[in-house]
Amino acid sequence: MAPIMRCIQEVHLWVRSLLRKSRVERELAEEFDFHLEKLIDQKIADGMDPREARYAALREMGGLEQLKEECRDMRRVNYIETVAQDMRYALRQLRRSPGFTAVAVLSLALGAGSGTALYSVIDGAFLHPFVRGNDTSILLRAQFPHKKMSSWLLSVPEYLDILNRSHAVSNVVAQREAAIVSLSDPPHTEGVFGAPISAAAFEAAGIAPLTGRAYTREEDRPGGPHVVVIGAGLWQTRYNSDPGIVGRTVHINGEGYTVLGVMPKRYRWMGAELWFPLQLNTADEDRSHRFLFVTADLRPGMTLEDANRELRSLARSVEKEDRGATPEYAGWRMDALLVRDVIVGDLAPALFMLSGAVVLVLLITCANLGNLTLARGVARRREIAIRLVHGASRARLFRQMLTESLVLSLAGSGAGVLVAYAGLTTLVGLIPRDYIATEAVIGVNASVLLVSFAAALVIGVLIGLAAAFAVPRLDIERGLRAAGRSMTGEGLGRHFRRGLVVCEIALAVVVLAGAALMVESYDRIGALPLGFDSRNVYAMNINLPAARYAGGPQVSAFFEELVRRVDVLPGVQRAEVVSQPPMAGWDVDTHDFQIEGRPVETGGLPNADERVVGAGYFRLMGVGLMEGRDFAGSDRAGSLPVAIVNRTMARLYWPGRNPIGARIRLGHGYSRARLLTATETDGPWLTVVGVVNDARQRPDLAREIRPEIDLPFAQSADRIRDLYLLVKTPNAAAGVLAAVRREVEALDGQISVQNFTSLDRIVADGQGPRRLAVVLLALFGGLALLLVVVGVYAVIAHNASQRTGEVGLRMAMGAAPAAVGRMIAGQGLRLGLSGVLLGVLIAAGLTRSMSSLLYGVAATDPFTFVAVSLLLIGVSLAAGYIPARRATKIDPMTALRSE
Amino acid sequence: MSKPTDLVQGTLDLLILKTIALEPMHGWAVAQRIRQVSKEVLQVNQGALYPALHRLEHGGWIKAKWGESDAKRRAKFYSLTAAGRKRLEQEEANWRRLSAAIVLVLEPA
Repeated sequence: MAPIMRCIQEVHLWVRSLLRKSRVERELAEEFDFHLEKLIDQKIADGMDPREARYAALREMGGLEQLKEECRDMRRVNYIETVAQDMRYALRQLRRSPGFTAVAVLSLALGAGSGTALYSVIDGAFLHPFVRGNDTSILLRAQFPHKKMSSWLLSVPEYLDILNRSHAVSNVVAQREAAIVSLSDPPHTEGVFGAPISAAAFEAAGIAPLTGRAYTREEDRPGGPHVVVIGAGLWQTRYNSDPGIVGRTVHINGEGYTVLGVMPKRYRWMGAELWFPLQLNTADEDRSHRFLFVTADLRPGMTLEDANRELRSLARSVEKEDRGATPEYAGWRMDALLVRDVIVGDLAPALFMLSGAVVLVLLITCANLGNLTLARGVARRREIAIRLVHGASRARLFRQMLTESLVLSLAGSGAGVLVAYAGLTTLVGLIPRDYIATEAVIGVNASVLLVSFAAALVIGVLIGLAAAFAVPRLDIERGLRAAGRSMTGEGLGRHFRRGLVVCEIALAVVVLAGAALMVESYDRIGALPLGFDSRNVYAMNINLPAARYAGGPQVSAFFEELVRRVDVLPGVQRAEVVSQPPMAGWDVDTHDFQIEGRPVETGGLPNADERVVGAGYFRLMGVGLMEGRDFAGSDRAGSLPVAIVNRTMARLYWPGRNPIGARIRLGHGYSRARLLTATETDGPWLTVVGVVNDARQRPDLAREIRPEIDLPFAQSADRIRDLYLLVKTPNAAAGVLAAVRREVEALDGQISVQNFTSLDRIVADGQGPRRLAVVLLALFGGLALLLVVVGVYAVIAHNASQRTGEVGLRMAMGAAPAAVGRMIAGQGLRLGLSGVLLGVLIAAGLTRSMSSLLYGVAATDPFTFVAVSLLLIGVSLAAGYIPARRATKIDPMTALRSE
Repeated sequence: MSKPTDLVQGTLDLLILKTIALEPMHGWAVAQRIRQVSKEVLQVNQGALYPALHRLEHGGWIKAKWGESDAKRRAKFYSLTAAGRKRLEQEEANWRRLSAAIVLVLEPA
């Protein structure tokens, strides 16, 4: 019983102290009065004079208010009360200095806002892009050192090896890349991304269809039925979420498919919107026929390292067993990457570097606000002293300071969340779509809010600590007497404030050096020769359905007619087809090749990038012809099979010789979906008729250019139905698209034009991660610079105002105004120099971590470092200029009188 | 603020509980009684006494009631609760065991 009774009493007292505060306070006072009286009575009884007794008793009782506060502290309710009281007080204080509050909230909002927006991207695009399997879903890769190539595509036997022999991974799924297919249920036709995948994918995903079912392994056999599963997005937009869709027949590339089910919105495997059975022929024993993407899940408890270790030893066993028939197995490797790492790719280092920059900017903000708070702390010395006299303990004052800075940081972060909401769309717009998984949802979600709240608390505590630094040193008497003004600043506090500013400058050096290095790299990359002229060139994708365009003659008839018609459109300079525009996509079709008269080396045939181009492609793109001739209209399906190679290929395989007239033959192809027949081991010999200048094929400009073989479209039309039309026109882009659409429609009403974009845009997107880093770092650099200006100005201005009397005295003694100005401004210079020195040291260590994002400039580029240093020293000097000027205007008499 | 250094840490609670176990008492009387009974050895400073009283009250070991003092003046009288009585027994037992142990160490047989 007793514990319960105790509880009841406790709660009762607790409620009483909370609700009937005044009565409790009165009782406390009365209790001490009683004690005091007793003490006086006793002293009188001891023979003291009544008045003397009273003084003695008061002395003995000591700090009555402190004692009361201690008693209040014994009641736990005090905490709640204090917090509420502190909050009210903090808000009042902040209202009283609107300038400070505005600077604080604004700088916090910008810093915390960029942090929150950036973290939203990291969370949505990198940490949790998928509904499941973010840390377990892997994509397999083969690497062939002798071919100097790595391939995301594997052959059927290689897929089966992993399926049957791996213990580290499960849910092994084979699929082909999604391609645009034309989906038509008359009269409506549109191109949508469709991917052939094995039935296991749906089991692996563990996501149930919204309605209907997924296809089974039975249906996923060669000769199986034409069935399809569609995505929720397509279901909503195209079929109005009609549940009757299940069982209906739709036409894909002209053939009838039965819809089996609808997958939920965040199921976008391979970025597609419809999936049909891969119907893989598992009897295919050609180990070099690689056309499958293979994904899998790490088994529970297995790490990526475990899987890679196993894959390495699996590759070695396969090499031993099959080296004879498959020469490229010499020294080959297999490894796995997390799917999300593949997609996010080199965006991840940019994101992490930017997070680092955000942390630095937030630290600068903290230092800045700590500094301003300290300055206010000195001005508030009198107030603090009064509160100490009134019995506030130092701990209580510290709590008060902390509450104030927490209120500030929470308000700033709250505003930051609004900034993040507003800026997120712009931020995501800076990232090319290729780097974000289709199913990723980027937004300010609960976990983002939690992280930004936690950050706000840390920031609040940091600022509060800086502010509280001023409290313990304050002694009551001096505080009261000085009334917020003294000849010299508080010794330690002043050093601390200068230290904060020096740190601010140092951190700003780091941010700005990073930003400058990024801008420099971006410039250098932008200045790299692409080997082609992307100006005024637009690209669009056209995919012909196999049902009506069965072979080469039909395909080439359609595209040649289309090119002829678009070519003569008003404003169009030239039109041409190509299998893939340069620098588009994250992989390029490649082909093994054999040079006539040369033996096959260990490790198999060499490998080159491959491209099918219309006859006028090089002229349209401005790619220079180095040797021989360009493709011509006379290169027809029946004429001599020809090829053009790039300069790198000529240099590597015909060093010092002219390759014109040499003959090559294509071997195995590594093609994702575009080229229909990837195997061509018995293809015709191709005569090299020309050498063109190197032109960039891959988005990563920092990589070396690979050898490239170009084939004329007219001789390859039987291998390709999915082409890009390139149009060079100085006219407005949209008008071109509409005109081309009309021409396509006139040729075939059931074909759609997809993925319209400009080549400039493709080139820029290839620089996505760097562009993102450049824009944001420039923004952060500007913010850091602004904060430094505020910080340096605040310290120098404060110091100058503290020294008004001294300056007046100096001037009265005959010091020249210019000398006084130099004295004040010199402080800025000293702060700037120390900050820059410290900053350069830190930056030299930190910028190394961003070297993967840099190009053509060293992480510790001396020129950049000197420029940034000069900038910050200049800014510090400038920030000291206004207070210095004000000091020279001081009237000695007024200054001295005010002492 | 000087704390009663001559009081072993934690024994102040025991002394207060023991003192008011006899009869309800106000703070002043508690201090006086402890001093007298201990023959002026234990001086309880008000700086320690009142926070301790408030803490004990809030913990539910003692309860307070306003009453009239000998001089017809309102004073806050503290008395033991049932829980406080129980705690006093425990603390007393603890103390006896402890002091006996210390005696044993100081004067080995």
